[in-house]
Amino acid sequence: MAPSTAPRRLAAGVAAVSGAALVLSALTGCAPGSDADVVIRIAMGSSGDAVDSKFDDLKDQYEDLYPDREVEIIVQEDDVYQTTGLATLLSSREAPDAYFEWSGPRMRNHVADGDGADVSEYLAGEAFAGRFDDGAFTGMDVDGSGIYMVPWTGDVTDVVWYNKEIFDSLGLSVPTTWDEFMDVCAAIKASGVTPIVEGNKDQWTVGNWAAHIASRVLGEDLYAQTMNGEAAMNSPEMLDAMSYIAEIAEKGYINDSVNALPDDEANTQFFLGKAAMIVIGSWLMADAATDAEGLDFDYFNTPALEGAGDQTSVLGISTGFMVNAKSEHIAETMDFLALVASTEGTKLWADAGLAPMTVDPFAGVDADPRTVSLATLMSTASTVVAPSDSGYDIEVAAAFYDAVASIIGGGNVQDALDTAEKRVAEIR
Amino acid sequence: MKADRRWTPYLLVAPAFLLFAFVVLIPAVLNTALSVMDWSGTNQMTFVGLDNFFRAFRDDIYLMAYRNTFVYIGLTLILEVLAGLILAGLVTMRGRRTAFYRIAFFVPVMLPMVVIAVLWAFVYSDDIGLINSGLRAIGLDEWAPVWLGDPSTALIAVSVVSGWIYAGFYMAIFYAALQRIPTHIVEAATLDGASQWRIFFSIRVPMIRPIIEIAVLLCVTGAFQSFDLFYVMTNGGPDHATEIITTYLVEVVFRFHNLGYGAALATIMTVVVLALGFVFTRIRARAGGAGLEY
Repeated sequence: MAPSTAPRRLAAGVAAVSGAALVLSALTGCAPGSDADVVIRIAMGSSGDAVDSKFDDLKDQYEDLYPDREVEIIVQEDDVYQTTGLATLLSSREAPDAYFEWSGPRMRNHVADGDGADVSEYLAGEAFAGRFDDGAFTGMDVDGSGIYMVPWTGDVTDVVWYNKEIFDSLGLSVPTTWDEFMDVCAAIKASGVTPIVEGNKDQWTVGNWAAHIASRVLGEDLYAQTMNGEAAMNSPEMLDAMSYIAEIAEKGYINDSVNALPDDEANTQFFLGKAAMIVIGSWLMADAATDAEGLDFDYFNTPALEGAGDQTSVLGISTGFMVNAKSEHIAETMDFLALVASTEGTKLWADAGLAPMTVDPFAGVDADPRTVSLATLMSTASTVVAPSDSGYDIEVAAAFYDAVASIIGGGNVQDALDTAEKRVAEIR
Repeated sequence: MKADRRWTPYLLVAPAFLLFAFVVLIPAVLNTALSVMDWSGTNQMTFVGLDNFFRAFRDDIYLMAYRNTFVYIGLTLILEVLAGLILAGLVTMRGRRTAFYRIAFFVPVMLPMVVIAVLWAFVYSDDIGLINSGLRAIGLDEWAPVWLGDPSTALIAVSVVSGWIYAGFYMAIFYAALQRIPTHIVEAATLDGASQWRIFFSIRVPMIRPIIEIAVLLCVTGAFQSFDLFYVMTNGGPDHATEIITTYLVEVVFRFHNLGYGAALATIMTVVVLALGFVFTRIRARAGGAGLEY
């Protein structure tokens, strides 16, 4: 707590050197140490080493194609990127020319803030010709006009990943209803293995799953109204929905450390076989490619519940790259994004375990069947529900996630939802 | 003819005042102006009067952040200042080789806070952590909670790390102060038969009281500046049990993009810190606080 002068001096020194470098780079129009005429900056949250390294490959391809240009890939830790990282980058002097984002409200906010360029003309050009179906642009417009993203991947935001060896050794089959799911959890717990591991330190992992459950129980319309702050957070329907989460906590089917564990450490525990299941998005495949070689695992969608919603719905959202409207190199940036969407680029993402949104996501690629299956799940879903944090009002989502964290930590459902409703009423 | 020097004092003060105005006064005034606005950072500013302040006093999380901050202050006064004082007493005992311990206790102060936070998060880990593994190894499973995941232990756990870091810092301050005490006073007490314990609490501690008071002020005001340790170890959780004012400010400003409300929260915090500093100064003045004179 005490002030420290040494770090301040160091920071001042670093700031002075950085400042000088910035002035020099501003004078030359290039990144420090760069001989290139044009430097484009691409920012994103880390999707795992397998994906991050592919961007380095693409950078090399781009710089070979355009020798007078240079690409600077800015990768931040995912949670940092979502919260403070991207906002800080966009307000900096060296703002990125393109940046990763989810479709929906976050994208629209960037457009409203003047940080998102309409790229529809470029997408209609030769570089992107035939690369996307029209459906790929869903949620990437603003009130029906313009396109503000170059689509990248479709993320199924939560499925239940399970360790097949553990399931087979216990003679368990994939559950299709919640009751079956509880029976599976009971059998796993009885064998001495943690049934479900979650890293909910930043609240979105269990929060997303709870949002999916809420949409199934409340029905998609009431779910959307609730997450937009238009309906009560402590409605009887929401109470029913969150009782499913409470049941998992009460029966001890989830790791005790759920609210202290970061999501990546939970992934590691699943990969190490310390838990039989983990509920997280399709991006787990990318981590598994580098961290879980040899692990026999698969996934199933959240089992059917009793409620007004579509019981086969998928929680998911499309992602893409927005182009900074303030960029001085929009055309050059679109050249890079054309490579991202090209046949070669698509192969890179499919190889890394992602589900690209191009017309030929797995053409010529020996893609993992689970990756292909996830892409199919998303594209053929009768209902795709958006997660509350990336699809709706972020403050309402934060209140909801707080309630969910409290419930999964053993808190009273009614109290947690009443607290959330009080916060939402203030926002309302 | 005598030179006109009416402006000399003002000119001498001007550089310091300009610097103070540039880094403190002007930002504080601008922040206060922003606190009566509704602004996301890029949209059109809207004047909302005192709404943001009224909202702050209804905001349970913000109020909880104050409660947590004051609990943190209470814990760190013990774990940092008191522990630092005791360590300083131990390393000034006559006849002991203490250079190694002085360096060892001070090392955590020199480590980057983020590194410390990550290391201690592992130490507290429920699955692979040193503490819980040790407790389970000796059969004390029931004494092995999820330190950072249990609302009843998380704040204490973070405070212990803070104490581990800064006890050495305060030890260094107290050690330097203790070295200034004339040896003949201690020798006289020793000849009179006073124990080391008695000498420490009845002679040394009273003689460095002004330094202890400054340390307490540093500890209290420093608590309001804390951020990185909490952000990395718990990010305010679980259930806002470790939410402090700065972590909540970051959430409001950078996650919710509510800069006007964030400015109001920062303005209130500034007033609270200034008020605490003022009260502390008054108490010191009444108690006759002054510099060291030996």
